[in-house]
Amino acid sequence: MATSQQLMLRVTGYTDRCSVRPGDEVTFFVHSEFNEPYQADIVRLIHGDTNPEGPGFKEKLVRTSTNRRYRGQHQAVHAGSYVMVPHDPRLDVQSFTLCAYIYPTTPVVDTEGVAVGAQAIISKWHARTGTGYGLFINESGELALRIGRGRGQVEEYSTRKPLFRKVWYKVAATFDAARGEIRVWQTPFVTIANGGHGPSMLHPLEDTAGSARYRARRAGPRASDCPLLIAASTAETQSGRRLSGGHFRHLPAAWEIPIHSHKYNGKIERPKLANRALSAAEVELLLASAGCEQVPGELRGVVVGAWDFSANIADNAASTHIVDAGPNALHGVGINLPVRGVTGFNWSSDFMSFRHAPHEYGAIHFHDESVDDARWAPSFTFKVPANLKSGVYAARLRVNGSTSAECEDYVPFFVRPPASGPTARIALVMAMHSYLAYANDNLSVNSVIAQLLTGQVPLLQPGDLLLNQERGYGLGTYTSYRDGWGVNISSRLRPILNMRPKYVHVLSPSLWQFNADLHLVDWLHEMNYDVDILTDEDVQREGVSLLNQYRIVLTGHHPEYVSEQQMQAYHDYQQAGGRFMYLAANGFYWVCQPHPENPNIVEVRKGDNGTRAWTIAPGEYCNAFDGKHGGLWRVRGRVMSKILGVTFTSFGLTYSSYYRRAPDSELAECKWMFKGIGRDEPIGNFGLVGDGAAGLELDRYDLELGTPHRAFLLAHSEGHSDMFVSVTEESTFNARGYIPGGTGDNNPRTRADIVYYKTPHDGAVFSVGSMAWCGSLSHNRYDNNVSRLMRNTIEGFLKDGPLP
Amino acid sequence: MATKRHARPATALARDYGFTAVDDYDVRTYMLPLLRDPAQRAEIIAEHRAHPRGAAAEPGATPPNHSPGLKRLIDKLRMTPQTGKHTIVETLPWQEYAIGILPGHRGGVVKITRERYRTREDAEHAIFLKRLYALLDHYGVKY
Repeated sequence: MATSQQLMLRVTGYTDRCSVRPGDEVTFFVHSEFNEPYQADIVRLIHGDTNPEGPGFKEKLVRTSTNRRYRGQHQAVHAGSYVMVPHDPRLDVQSFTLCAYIYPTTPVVDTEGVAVGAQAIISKWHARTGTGYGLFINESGELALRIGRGRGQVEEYSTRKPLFRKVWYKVAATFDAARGEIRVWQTPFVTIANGGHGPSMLHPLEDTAGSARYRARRAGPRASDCPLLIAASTAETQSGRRLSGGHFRHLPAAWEIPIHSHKYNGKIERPKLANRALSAAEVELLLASAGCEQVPGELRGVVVGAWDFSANIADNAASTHIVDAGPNALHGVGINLPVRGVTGFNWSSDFMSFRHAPHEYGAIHFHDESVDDARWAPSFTFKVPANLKSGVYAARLRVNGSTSAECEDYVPFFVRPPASGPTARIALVMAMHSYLAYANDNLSVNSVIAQLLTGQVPLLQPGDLLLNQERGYGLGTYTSYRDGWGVNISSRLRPILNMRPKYVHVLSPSLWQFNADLHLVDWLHEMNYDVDILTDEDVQREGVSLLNQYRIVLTGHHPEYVSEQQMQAYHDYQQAGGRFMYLAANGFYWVCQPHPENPNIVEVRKGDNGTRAWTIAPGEYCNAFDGKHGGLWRVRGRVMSKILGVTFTSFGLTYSSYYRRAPDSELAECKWMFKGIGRDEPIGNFGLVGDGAAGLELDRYDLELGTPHRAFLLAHSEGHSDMFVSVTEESTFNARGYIPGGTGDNNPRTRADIVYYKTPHDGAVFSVGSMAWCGSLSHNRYDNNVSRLMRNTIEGFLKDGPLP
Repeated sequence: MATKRHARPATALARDYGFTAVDDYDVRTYMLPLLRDPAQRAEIIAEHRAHPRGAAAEPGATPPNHSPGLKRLIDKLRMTPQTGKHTIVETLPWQEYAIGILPGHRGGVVKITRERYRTREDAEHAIFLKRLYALLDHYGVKY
């Protein structure tokens, strides 16, 4: 009998860059689960669907010196966000006070009922040697002070009262080394608004408020060279991993980070350290200031560190720089991107953005599963040859050369044309931001509702088994952290195991995202079209000037997550006469903002509206990465139908349906697209995504939502099952049956519309309104009416001059 | 937030009694009459066997919706809590599928049982039957 470990993926990796040109070098970072050697080969990916009913898997080997056997190395991911303040002798205090506001979200167990263990709030604590000091939450959920003088000499003093989840507390501990006196206290600080969805009625207060005094040895903690950490403690001082470049470019040197432990879930605000035991009144004074601005001179003199998380968030809260506003300027750095721009202990609900009231957003939310960068050691590089055709490529990794599923992984990257200019008249934009949003969802294992949405039991593949063991390698925006908060930041600098050829996706009867986009890549290849491959990252950086180099720009099947810069580029391209083909549904839906200093990382904040995996906490709707309102583009007045002609209307993550031609398809302006297709012929009643061209998610036209007034309806789908439900952003009152809250069998808005319209300067937009469309292209050896309609449209769009 | 030192309040509310009670009412009221009848039960099982994962709509045919009885039952079974829930593990792509058991939390190990099926549909139906019989056992329905 095979065990889970035998079936689990044994090799995986990621690259330093997503989109490269000929002459560029790509670095690969590879993990080998059992330290086994592996063969790496660079391949061009054509078709990733292994379904025996389709054309099958297609790849082409690229001859390069990179292709050889490599020694394998197990590389761990150290997940969990925290703040590091590098070691400084001034942090090695004897007597001291630690204080902060905290909002714990897993004081004892996580949302799955698993014990979290002790969590550090502020610590200069070396766990292996048991030295140092720190303010912790202990295994019983109580605030606790730890003092360590070496192994066997670790002391813990707690309040003996449990901290409650989603409640703000004022917490403090003092130690007088000369007298051996210890005080530790936790005081709820609750207003009607400040805890978000946490309770505001704590009665009796004594259930959770507590203070205690203790006598201890008259000796301070033993000093060590470990850093001071906020939201973690140090397991090992040296990890061999360093911070540099990207979102750490402000650092004066490449700081080495520790291996951390005692990871905390929840918010922390105004953490402070003083080098003597303060009175309760002095602690009040200290905590009254975000930094040290209103701390009297005498008291200021004993402050070692006063970290003000609101100090540098006025424009955006993307910075990893953590300001020490105290006299020593012991600045820190945020690692694994703790979430900034979140409501603080003093949030009044008068403001909904940290930009409008940074002083009410002085908290940071830490999660013990966050990953900004796996920071693995480089394994090998590939220099893109000058003559390499633009396309979708990957390093194919095979443990010991084996082709079995658990021994093989593909690490994708995209080759765009050389800097000298385009090599084709057609460009396909690969939806990297959406691949990031859907990264490592782990829904097969974690989500109860996934089976209701998809109407089936999930299928686990070798990568899914590894992903669950590794707690999602940092997860993605379709899941929640273990404290119940949605994952709002996703990085490409780690393996993304559901962005792979051959992968069968939990949200589909077959494929979704990257692997489904290869259906289109394959069809373009089989039709002998020259196509330049671009990515979201390229459009983000270069805007409409990049798109204007192409006669036709295509999307893949689900470009759901786009930035403001991308939205503007597509709008301007259409205005300038570009011909845009949206071969998708539910595109341009969520606001998705790349990190201003690292394009490999994006942020998504899903608000009150939209068909969504989670809802952001009250008052936290604005992106840390640009300070603007997150959520639906529709909420920001940029509903997708303004530039696509169609808007998200329904979804059913199950089997598909087909289209019927609409009367507009016979008009002189449109009939050229239907050459060779009969008037009453159903379109796309076949395909590799749910056996039909209209499926998964569906878009419809809507003149009330900005569909252009001269748009044509070419076709519409019908017959979607009652697994197809209405999108939530259009439900005001739910009512049984028909339109509001209706399903495929009783809501006429449950359909995919093919819409076409012209734009200025002989431009045009062609939208199919279905995520399953591209899966039908290869049917009957590419000879079918979906393929024909696509081919007719592309041929027409490639011609210069006005359209019919 | 119960621990050895701090017990959770011993109230019905704290253990989500309201949800459990109404869910129990729904099963007894709407599902058990159907499931207790051997003929209707056999019909529901046969209907699931025909299309365990659904089917595409075909031009000229009625869309493939499940019957009201199967719909209600299958939605209930799909909401089985994640801990110990059956799943499908691909052991040989397009050739062999195993029944697995979920750990219910991230970081846990998915257990792989000895049960193997040639198609994903066969495995899906096998899991449906396991969940159905567990429900019938819970309510003391003989089958």
